[in-house]
Amino acid sequence: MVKSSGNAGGLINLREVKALCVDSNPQGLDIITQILMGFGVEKIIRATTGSEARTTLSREVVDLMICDAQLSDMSGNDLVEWLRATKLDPNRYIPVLLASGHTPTSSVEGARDSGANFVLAKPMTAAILMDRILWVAKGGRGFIETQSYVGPDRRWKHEGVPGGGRGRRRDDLSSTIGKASEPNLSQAEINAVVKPQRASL
Amino acid sequence: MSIRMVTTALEVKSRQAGGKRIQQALADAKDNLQALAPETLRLIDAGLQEITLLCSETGEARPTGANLQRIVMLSDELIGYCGAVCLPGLDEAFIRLCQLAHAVLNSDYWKPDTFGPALMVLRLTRHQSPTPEELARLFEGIDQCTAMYLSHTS
Repeated sequence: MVKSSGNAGGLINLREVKALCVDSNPQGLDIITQILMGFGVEKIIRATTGSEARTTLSREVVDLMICDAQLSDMSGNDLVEWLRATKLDPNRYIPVLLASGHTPTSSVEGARDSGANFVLAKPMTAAILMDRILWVAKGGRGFIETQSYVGPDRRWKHEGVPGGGRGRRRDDLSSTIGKASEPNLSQAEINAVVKPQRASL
Repeated sequence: MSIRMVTTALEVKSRQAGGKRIQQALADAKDNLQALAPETLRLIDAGLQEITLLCSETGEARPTGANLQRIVMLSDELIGYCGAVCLPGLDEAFIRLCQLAHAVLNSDYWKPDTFGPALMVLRLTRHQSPTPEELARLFEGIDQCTAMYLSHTS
């Protein structure tokens, strides 16, 4: 059972998970495959081009895709964008991790906007890949469909209703601060909320 | 716009009974990677040799656009290989070469021997074990060079 990201004592069962690994470089593909096999993944499909990956995704149900950002026939972003825009259920909803060595902000943003769940900075280590798999396996991230974007919710924080307006959601709070309805938090409780916890595996 | 909560098969399957302790899964993955190390090291050396040739075949002149693109691609590829070998600093050296080559590619500026220090750091991290302080100093020099090209971006 997946406990949580950062809990190295937890259990994870990836035996039945079918993973599609896409990398135009055979050694890169071997590295991802060996890490996944170590994690206990038994069903691994390897694709060396974007079009090969498209064929697989059109024919088989896959549970997870790990894709290099630079493929020989297309970019990883193009492949993810294509997948999210298709009507291939359930494959269009699968978690996608994009691996890139050269990760300037523009390429991270490009990957995010194509519909990838995470960008993995190379070199890919077992600890980082496990951490990301635990994140996506935890779920709880909405799937968004608009005319210009299809993919996991890109918002990681809720900043509330824009100033001066009223929220449209049922659970939006009023911008007017009323009287406190509960006792103040203790310093220890405040620290527990705001102190960043570093994920460590 | 529509927002839906989708429970993926990964969420369901990974929670099934059985499986591995995460510590064990990580240890097994590291063992598997170690088996790839000799071949990966051979490929790193071959890539390093090709990069050295690409950087030096034009002598003092600026490498061609195609060569710069090849350096970016190759170093990006080799960054990925570093996860299978235990050579501290080598991955960062390849990342810096990739950033530098990318910056040169997008600039009209050229200074002879631009890639010399980056190649030297690559050889150093491949064959010797520089201290973290030495590495930090060397990387700082390459970063400054990259910043100079970025300021001359066409």
